[in-house]
Amino acid sequence: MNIFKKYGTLIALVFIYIGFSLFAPKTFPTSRNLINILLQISLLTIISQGATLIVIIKDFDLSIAAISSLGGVLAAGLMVNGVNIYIAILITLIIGVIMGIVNGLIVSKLNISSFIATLATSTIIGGITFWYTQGSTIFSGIPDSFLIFGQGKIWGIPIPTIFMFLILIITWFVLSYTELGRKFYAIGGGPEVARLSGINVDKTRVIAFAISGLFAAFTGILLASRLGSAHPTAGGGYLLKSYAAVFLGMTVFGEGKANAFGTFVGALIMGILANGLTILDVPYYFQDMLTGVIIIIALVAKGVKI
Amino acid sequence: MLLEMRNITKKYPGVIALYKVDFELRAGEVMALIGQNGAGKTTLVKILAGAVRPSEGEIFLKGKRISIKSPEVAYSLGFSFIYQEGGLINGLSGIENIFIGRHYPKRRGIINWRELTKNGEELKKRFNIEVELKKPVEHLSPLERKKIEILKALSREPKILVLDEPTASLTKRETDQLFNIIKSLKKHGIGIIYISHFLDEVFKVADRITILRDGKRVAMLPLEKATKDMLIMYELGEEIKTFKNIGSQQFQKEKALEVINLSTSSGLKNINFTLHRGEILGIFGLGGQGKTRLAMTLMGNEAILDGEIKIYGVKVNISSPMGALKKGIVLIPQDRTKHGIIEELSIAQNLTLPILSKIVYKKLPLVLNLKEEKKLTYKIMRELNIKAKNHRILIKNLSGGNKQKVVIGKGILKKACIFIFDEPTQGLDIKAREEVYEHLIRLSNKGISQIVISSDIDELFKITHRIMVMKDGTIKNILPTKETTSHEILSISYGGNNEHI
Repeated sequence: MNIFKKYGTLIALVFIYIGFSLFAPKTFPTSRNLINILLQISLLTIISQGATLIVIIKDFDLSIAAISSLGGVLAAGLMVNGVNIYIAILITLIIGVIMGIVNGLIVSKLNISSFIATLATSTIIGGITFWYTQGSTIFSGIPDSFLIFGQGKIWGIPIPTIFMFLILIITWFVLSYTELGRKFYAIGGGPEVARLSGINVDKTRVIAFAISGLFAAFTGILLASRLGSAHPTAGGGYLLKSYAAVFLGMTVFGEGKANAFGTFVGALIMGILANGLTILDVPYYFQDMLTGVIIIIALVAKGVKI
Repeated sequence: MLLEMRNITKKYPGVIALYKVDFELRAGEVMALIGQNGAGKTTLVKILAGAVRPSEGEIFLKGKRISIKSPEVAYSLGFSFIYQEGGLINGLSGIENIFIGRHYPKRRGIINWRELTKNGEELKKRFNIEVELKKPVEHLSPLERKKIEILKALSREPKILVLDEPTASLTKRETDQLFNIIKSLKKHGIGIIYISHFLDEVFKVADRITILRDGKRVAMLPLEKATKDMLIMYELGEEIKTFKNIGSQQFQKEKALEVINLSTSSGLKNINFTLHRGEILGIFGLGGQGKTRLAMTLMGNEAILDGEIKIYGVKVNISSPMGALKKGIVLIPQDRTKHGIIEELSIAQNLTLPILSKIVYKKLPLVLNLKEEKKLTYKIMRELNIKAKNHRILIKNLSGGNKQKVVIGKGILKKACIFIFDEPTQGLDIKAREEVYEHLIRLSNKGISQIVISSDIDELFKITHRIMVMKDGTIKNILPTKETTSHEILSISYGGNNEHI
């Protein structure tokens, strides 16, 4: 009984995997398909790691989708205009961090709820993106050497998946073993206690938003590289999905707190569902409905309060 | 007789909150209900409000036996309550607050504002209470808010009105105005129960006085027969004694903290005192007299207008909690769960919050040395006798006493030299209290200076070296605990003179 309560989500993941394997034994449980699933969730997992930090400090960052869209078109646009790809990537990442810092400053210094503040900045960033692209997709002139980040493989593993695991491990390490990670959890648990304990709450929140912005911009770059083009709303789908992964992830391990690997498992469950149901020819809208239902069931079963 | 309570007893597991208490109230009189913290006033009111059922006893309203099963029943029987604070909803206007929860008059399904306003104005006229009804209540002064609350209570046509510390946030002049309103309500035949810590107020407004002590009614007398000294005597018990001090060694001469001519924007005036090395200085005062504000000022949470603070002879400028911690001042706050600990974190994670930057690896400056953290945690758990399976147990699973020990442990790990305790044993049972006292005395013997804010006089007599009495944001007196009595402390804080003692 206790085991179900503690590891229910993981057990569900295993059952879902076995279920699909039984229904589609030739196509689903293959190593090729597994790599495919991991590739499909790589970008989602990366952007969700930022969202994980934000949920830990009990905030919201609704601008991650807009930042990732801007990240894609900015990186692509710079390259098309002849900027060296590494410099273009660096500039884009810096812009992502700056946007995160702006979010964090508005939230902590002006004392506006993060939900509303980032809703506003998200709208502004979306406007900037359309202004920069004039609403069109950038595809011609993107250098081939840039495409390797999204499409290349090392020892058969797609590069985005490698990035995913790298960022996953870094986030996990930061959250579990560093001063910064501990401060995030402290602020989420009790900002006033954290402040009275001598923690600079404002600064720490700004850092969380900066990292969220960084990961969002990076996701946008990888997406542009993978698609070979950059559209001003390319990252739009990531907002709800990333928070869904985080909340689902809160149910994975012990204590009902957002954590790096939990979020990965959350994304994995959504990825497996999408992949398996597609193989079984279930319409995509049914996948969305099922994902929503699973999130609610998981949160209720676990008694997670958000 | 309007209200009669006979032989009311209320038992909680292990505690008898009220024992065979009789209480009565006539129509058109003000009955003051007084007593120390924990005497049973709140329980008595909760019984009338239908929030608590008595274990034994009978209640009669106009001679008819009643049973108050729920707050709804209490309202329908004609009881109305005005609590210390929080009776109004911000964002709504006075008139909306007054009639909230009742059916507003409507015309074709739409609220008839004209009718509603008329009802409000009539209510004002009838009880002769002048106040603005259209402004959102958060823009009103404390007195105006009190008036709105009274109108709200009166709109339900109560027979009995209970006022619990209604003057807590009012100035002297506002208090007098409130008393005029209360007196005029008597003419309408309303029986009023007035609960207060302030004896001065009781003498101004009451007709009769009921005194509770340790859950028993020790006296009921008409105002004419009462004197302030007599009431204090009743509140404290027949014999006035100095409580046995389980205290520590004598403190040392060295000055740990000097506060000189301190005034703050929060209303503290001319605060002067010295805390010595290893001394336990108690602060006593009634609610709202500045005890907690003083603690918050020392923690850098309130703006200092004037004066200076010295720690071990060095003038310091404390402008934030972080600054106070760096200077070695640590606060053990009143509301543990809100200000002291983080429920969702483990014992270890809570203990090391203030010293995170000190438990990182020397070679990897941002990475926490979890082994070191575990070692420190076990050291504190042993030292303070924190009972838990291991250091990873979440704080929310600990008892109140163990939580408090974790908060103390935070200060010890931070190597603070000055501890400020705000109501350190509030909500703890007797055993946990004794244990907390032991730890305070042990800290004192180690040379750590402490300020203990408490509204429990016995507690102060038990553990402090000196007691400082605060009233109206200033210090009234500082007395060595061994040379004073609880009677003296109480009469200073009531504002009475102590020449009768």
